[in-house]
Amino acid sequence: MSLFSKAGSLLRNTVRKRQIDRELTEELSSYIELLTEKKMKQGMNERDARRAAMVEVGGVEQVKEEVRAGRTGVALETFFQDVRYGLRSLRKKPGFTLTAVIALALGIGANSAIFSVINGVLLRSLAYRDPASIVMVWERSLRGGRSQNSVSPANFLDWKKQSSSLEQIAASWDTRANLTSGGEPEEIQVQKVSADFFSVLGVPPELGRSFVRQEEMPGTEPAVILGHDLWQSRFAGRPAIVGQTVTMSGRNWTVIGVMPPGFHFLNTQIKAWMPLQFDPATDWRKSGRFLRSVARLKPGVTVQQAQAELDAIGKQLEMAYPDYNKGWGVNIVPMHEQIVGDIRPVLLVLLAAVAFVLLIACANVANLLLSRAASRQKELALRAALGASRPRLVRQMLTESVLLAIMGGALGILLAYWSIHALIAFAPDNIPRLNEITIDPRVLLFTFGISLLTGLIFGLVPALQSSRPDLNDALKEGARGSRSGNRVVRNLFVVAEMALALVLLIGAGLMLRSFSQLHQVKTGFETENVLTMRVQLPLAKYGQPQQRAEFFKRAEERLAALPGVKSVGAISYLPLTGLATSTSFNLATKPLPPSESPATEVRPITPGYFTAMGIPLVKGRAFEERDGADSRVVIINETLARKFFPGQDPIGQQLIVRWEPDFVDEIIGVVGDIKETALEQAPNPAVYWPHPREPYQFMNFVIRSAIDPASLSAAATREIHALDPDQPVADIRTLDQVVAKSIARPRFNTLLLAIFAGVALVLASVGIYGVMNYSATQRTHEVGIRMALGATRADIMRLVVGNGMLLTLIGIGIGVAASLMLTRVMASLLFGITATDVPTFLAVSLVLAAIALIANYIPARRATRVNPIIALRYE
Amino acid sequence: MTVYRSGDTLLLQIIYMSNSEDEFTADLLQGTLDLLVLKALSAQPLHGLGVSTRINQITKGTFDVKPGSLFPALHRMEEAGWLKSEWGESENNRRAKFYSLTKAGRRQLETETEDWQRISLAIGSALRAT
Repeated sequence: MSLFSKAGSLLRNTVRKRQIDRELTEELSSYIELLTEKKMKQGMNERDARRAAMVEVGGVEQVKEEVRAGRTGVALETFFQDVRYGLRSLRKKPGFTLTAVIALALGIGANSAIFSVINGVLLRSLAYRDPASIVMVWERSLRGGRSQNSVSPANFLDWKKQSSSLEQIAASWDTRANLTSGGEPEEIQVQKVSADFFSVLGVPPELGRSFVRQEEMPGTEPAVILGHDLWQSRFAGRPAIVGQTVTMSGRNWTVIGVMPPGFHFLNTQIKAWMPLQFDPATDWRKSGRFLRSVARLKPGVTVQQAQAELDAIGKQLEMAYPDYNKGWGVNIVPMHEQIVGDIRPVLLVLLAAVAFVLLIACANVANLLLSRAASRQKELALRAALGASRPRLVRQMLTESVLLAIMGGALGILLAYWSIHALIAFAPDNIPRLNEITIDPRVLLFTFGISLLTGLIFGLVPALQSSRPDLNDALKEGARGSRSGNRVVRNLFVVAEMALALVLLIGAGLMLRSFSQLHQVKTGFETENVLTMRVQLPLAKYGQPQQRAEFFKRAEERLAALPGVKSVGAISYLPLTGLATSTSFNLATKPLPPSESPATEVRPITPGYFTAMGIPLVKGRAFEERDGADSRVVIINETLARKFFPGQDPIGQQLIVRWEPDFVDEIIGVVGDIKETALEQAPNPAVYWPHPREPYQFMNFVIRSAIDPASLSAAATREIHALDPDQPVADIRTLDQVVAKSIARPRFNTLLLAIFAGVALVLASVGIYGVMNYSATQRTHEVGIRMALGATRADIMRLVVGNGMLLTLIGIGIGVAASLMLTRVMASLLFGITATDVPTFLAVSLVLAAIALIANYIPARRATRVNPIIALRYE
Repeated sequence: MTVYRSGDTLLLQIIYMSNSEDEFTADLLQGTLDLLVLKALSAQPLHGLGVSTRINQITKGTFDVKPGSLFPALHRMEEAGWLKSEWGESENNRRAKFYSLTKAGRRQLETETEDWQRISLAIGSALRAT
């Protein structure tokens, strides 16, 4: 058919629909007339002839339907007709529609929310130029088992010199600075970066320029690049800021550029960038490893090739500097993997969870549709009698279910929109790329697609089931609707719902139990009523070690004198904040070469620290005022004592901690172990030094009080300002908050999974209740007969409840089996229990069975209340 | 759906019934019906009953096309531009819709006739082969 004539037909069929239909009717009736006359000519009387003609035609409406079905544009027309019809029939049953839409909205909304997180975190490409060729370059400590160790400047410079697979490599180091320009003194996080840093990431400043090579050399004029947010908040977004100076940590810095909004590298808290300077005079092989390095691969070079080349370079460096590099290698990690590798398993578990929720919602709605189809049988039979073919009926019903799903999807996207905001608000800040989570066209497309798919999934079975009405039966007045095929399908749905819900509940149960295990871990210190805060002194003002030691000593005295304060101490890094200084050490009696020496954490503290933290002194004495800058004393933790002085008294023994320069220290005390790195990690060996000996420029105060610690924060800040009005105080929070923050991520994961499992439980219970209720109603007649024949209420109860519970138990059985296989993927998220934790499996199964029992019991009880006479008459 | 006469056409009937699942067979058989309709209309314009009577005559009673398949075919072929229709008077003065071939319809009849002859020759020789 030519396109022209097709278009013409479409237009005609659409515009002149009524006239064409009228003509068709006329044509058919003329056919019947003509046929009747023909038959009369053959000798029939008029009545017989007409009757025979009608029989031969078969059915005017059916013929008309056939003709219509062959017309151009019929698909479109049918579609609109189906949509109109569908909307009308949904509007007629608002209760049903509302229930279904809410169930679907929960399922689709949860999926859209989690997908938008996955989209923002995993799928969207990083905001750097050609992010696929950006890699992190770490040192790998073979002995320490750390695959992503910070990088030594010496090794970094050698990689840079020798590698040919890297186009550029840059280094960064996060530190802090006291900003005093543009408002109140504020401690900000800054990133010191080498000159190539911005070109490795491929992001130029939005204003001004980036660093040049010269600025890597010490002695050049201090230059700083501001982050967009800092520029806006402290300097009112004035473009003239470029070229002006700002005061940070007691020095004047020239602002040379401003980075575009949203730019960050591994740390979203960074407010400004400063040049990382490498003094060529320094022997960096005497310093520690503290850099992060990031590189851009040359075009065409794969990660594997770069890894192979750097392996070889690493080997060379190991041979050249055995003291420093023995046991150290190089590890290349693609940037995207670096950022999201850690969060991916959690997100995939969550995605599986919401998919289960959606499947349960589907099963629920499918069941609702089945029940409804039973009551619609007469309507369907009528349509079939009027010439609707089975595919036509199926399409009609599918249109209805897709309409439902799309309504659910529309409500779902609203739910997702709200819940993403809640999600971001409650999420711990160490989840990467949270700020990139939005509902973008990809999420909308996903939601639309999943709505369509959902509509087809839950609509198909009911549509196929009920589009096969037995015309005779259905049209008869009072025919009973339910057929056994229908019931089997419904039962299958119940079993599937129970199984799906159980898997989810077990997943959530495992997370909850794991979290409670984590929560019960003994930290080794007492967290109640302790306020912590960090003070970082600018080196420009406190350049002399004794100035710093003096400041913290006086600050500690002032804080201790505050009313309500019981004891005060300070430490370099608070436990459970993920930071530590680590080095190697030797027993004075048994020195080993540096590459074979054991490792220990090193923590400078003030004398009051152990008391303020509630860390018990096991042996010996704590530090006192007299342990000053020249003291050669050290306190060790129990782990170090146990590992290196088994069966001996460590007090009075000597240690050599690798530092610059190395000193021989005498052990004067042993303190209890605490959880330093994370609650789920066993303590490492640790040594404590008196602060005056290693006067760090920053210290974290620990203030134990007799009153609510939060009420002390203003007074504590005042005491610091009394010593130095320009000195900011940062990170004021209670020790409880510090601990809580360290497990914020598992808490968040647990919370999410628990919410989804809760939704699943509600949907599944409503689902089983609905089915049981329906089947009890359907069986009213049967129950009446049974009771009339002498069955007791208990018999009926057993019959109805037994049936439902059988389904539940089958569902639970399948769910347990599926969980045994599926929860394995969660193993990495669990602490203190295995993925097949028996108590969790048992408890969850029991809970689900109990809820199912209630859902079964209520309709069963109603069934037994039936008066046999009414039941028999029921129809 | 379509009702053809007597025993030997049972197979055709079944295949035709399943036309929504198998487009190829449906096309082939629809083609057959189209060919018959075109042929029936090649001599003179006819109304619906006329077409079905004519087909019955020219196939010597083998095919008896019922309205359920005749009218969809007529309307489809009219949309395709092979037929045109107008209202007129029947032999005994009844108002009826008369169908006649268009130019495109005649061309279609020619090509379909050639095709059919080729196919029936081929199938005939295939069946004679030993």
